[in-house]
Amino acid sequence: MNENSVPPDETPDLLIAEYVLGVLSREERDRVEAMIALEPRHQRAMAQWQEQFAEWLGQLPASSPPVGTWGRIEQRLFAGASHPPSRASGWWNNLGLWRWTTAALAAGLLASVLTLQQPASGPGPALLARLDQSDGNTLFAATISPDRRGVLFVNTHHADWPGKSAEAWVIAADGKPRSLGLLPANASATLNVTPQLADLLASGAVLAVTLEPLNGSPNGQPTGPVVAQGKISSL
Amino acid sequence: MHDLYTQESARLLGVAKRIARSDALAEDIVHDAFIKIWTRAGSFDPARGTARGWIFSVTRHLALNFMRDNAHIIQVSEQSESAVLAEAALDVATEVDTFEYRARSGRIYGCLEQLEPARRNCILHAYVDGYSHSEISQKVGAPLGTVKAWIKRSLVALRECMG
Repeated sequence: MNENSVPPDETPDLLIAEYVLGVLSREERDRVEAMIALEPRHQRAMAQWQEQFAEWLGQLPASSPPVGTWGRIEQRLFAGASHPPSRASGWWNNLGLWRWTTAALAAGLLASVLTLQQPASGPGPALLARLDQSDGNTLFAATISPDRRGVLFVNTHHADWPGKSAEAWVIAADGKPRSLGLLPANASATLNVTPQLADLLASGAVLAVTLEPLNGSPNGQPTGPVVAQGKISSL
Repeated sequence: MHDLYTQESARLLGVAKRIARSDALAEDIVHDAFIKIWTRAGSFDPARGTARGWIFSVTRHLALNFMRDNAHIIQVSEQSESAVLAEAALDVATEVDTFEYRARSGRIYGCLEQLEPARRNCILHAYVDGYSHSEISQKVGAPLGTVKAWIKRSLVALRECMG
């Protein structure tokens, strides 16, 4: 057998596997990243390889960073957020600050998801939902905070409907949709949940997003088409 | 975020040290990784994998890009294959078996078992040490094309095995 021949199945998946494995040159890495960015199918393949390989990393010896490292990280994060707000606009109009706050919220949720992944810790299982379009593509990933008082919606695709508002709903066992609030266009958002609705956010309930008139459904019930939906499941 | 740092930084530093082969560099990589994890947490998609998998990927990504950007150009000599391969297989095998990957129950371990030891070790070296095709080729003394083909076949075999 000629060892130098490339196997016939030189597929994108194989290239992605080589990328995740880490053997490619910088130029090849950049090329594969560009290819992956355009195609959800490739993103799924990448995530799958990452999950499969990641087990090996858990076996490497851990090594505590020196004491000052966290201080440097903190300093850098705060320095990045302190753009002086312009005189004309209040701090709430400071886009940098909002971006930062959203990132902080998302990072906080990520930390809580990780905490819950630790064996035998945390108040209960983390709840997640993948909201798919009718064609099977995922439009939003939803993460429910451990106390069930917040749901983080992250759009995984372009999500913008001019002239309409996207409204999120929870549909519990009784089949009745209850509004969780409006989602911003093309941005992740955490919706606060009232204590009454919090109990409905359980494994098996459905999260859905519908298109409603601007500022939401006029009658408290979904009136427009469902753009994405998915079941809540525990991690 | 500090919780995340307390919980994961030591493991991430372990990963970065292995790839960067320098304590100071690895600490910088972990620093940058946490900045990226913080600012990009919104792009983490729980439907596509675990949060831990994601932050490991962010760290490896930074470490690998740094190593590739600073890699010396490795000239691979066209040596006679068969003479070096047997030696290389032995050499690499003794070194990598310290991973004790056999003790793990995940499906990928069963699938790794089915690869020839030399090829299995190429895969582990690539992933855990972050070696490029050229570095593995140099390390095991096999021609670049051979190493590329080995790795491709091993990945195909792993994919088939894992379904």
